Amino acid sequence: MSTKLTQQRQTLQWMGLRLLVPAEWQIVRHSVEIAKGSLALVDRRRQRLQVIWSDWPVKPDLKQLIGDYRAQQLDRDADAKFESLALPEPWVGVARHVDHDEMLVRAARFDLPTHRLIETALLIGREGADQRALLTELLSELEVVCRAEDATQWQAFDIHLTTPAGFRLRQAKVKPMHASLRFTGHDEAKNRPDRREARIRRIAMAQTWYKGAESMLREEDWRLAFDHRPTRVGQHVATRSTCQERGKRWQRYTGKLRQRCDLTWACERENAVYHVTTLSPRGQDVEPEDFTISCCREIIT
Amino acid sequence: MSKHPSRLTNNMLLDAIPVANEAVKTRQYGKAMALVVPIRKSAWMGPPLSWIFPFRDERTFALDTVGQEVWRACNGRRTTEQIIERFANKYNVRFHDARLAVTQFLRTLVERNLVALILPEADKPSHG
Repeated sequence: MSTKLTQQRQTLQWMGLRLLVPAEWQIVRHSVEIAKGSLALVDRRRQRLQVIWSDWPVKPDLKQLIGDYRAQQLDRDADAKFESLALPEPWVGVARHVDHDEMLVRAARFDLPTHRLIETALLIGREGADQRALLTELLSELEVVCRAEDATQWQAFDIHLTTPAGFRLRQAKVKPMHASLRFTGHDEAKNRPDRREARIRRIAMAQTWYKGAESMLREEDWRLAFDHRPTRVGQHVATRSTCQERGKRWQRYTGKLRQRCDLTWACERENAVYHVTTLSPRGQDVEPEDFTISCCREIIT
Repeated sequence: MSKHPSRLTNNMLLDAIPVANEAVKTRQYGKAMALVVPIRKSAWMGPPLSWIFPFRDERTFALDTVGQEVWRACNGRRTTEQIIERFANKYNVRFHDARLAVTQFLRTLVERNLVALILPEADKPSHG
């Protein structure tokens, strides 16, 4: 087991959950579903943690839930060995022995204010006080901040972001060294997405490919007629580019096309390019500056 | 050594030591580098067929700057994990991202016989 308490920690925030995990752990699977979804984290060698959230109208019987899990595991493998663990309140859970020196801790808790059930599956070493301390730390630091649909704080894939209220995450595309989060505005009164949209991208290894915002945007879509203006965000030189989105001719004539605004900068310290795109229909202005991004430990927009 | 990187698990690949093929020569073209591999010719590729079809003596693979670094790191002493770590530190990327980039590149090199992977004894896949 490589994880030690001396390791650095990182905070992750996703869909209204806040986690504190070893810095080396990284998200490999994620979902953007509000009602039920999960987040899986791996260390260098294997999956270590899975966090599953689901909406429950009433508080479930957690002991029954864990008991069902145990019975299910025993059905599959009659020789399965379990261990009772003292978990931090309000977690309820059980540990199943896997391999010769590891255990899979299955734990659950219910957050009454948000009506969210949080379940975790954590793989840790069976021996060693540091492993038990890690388990306690992970569970006690796993916090339900708000309902998934109300989440405005996002900290994952090296993107640290605060969105304005009324935006929901619709899509998260994550490729090696390239993460893209797409948010859409949500009309609370009609309970449906509106036409406001924002995309936040972080692309790593900027030194090897970045030749400025203009060429990056041209490569993305050469048909868009951007108006580029130099600007600054924090200590970084940035480019603010504006244009009208592409669309059908009738959309242009009827004023249905949205205004597009891009803010792009390269962070030398992180060797990454940040690119914020907003699309706003007439009368519902959304600017890239409405999204607060923390880059190289500095809040810059 | 393995010529079938697809059969390797991720953990085996991390523990493996990539070794550059000694027959491969490098040529520098400004910032770009090319790997030149001699082609073993079959008997039928000799005269008289070669008088009509001039078969190539070597095959060339171009590497960009990032590829060159990984290639130079395959010195037979570093494990793939160490190469990934260096790559991640140099370009300030996460280990997981660097792993995907480096292992994908290494798999390509192995498939083209430019690099061989030496597996530690404990990691060698059993046959039969």
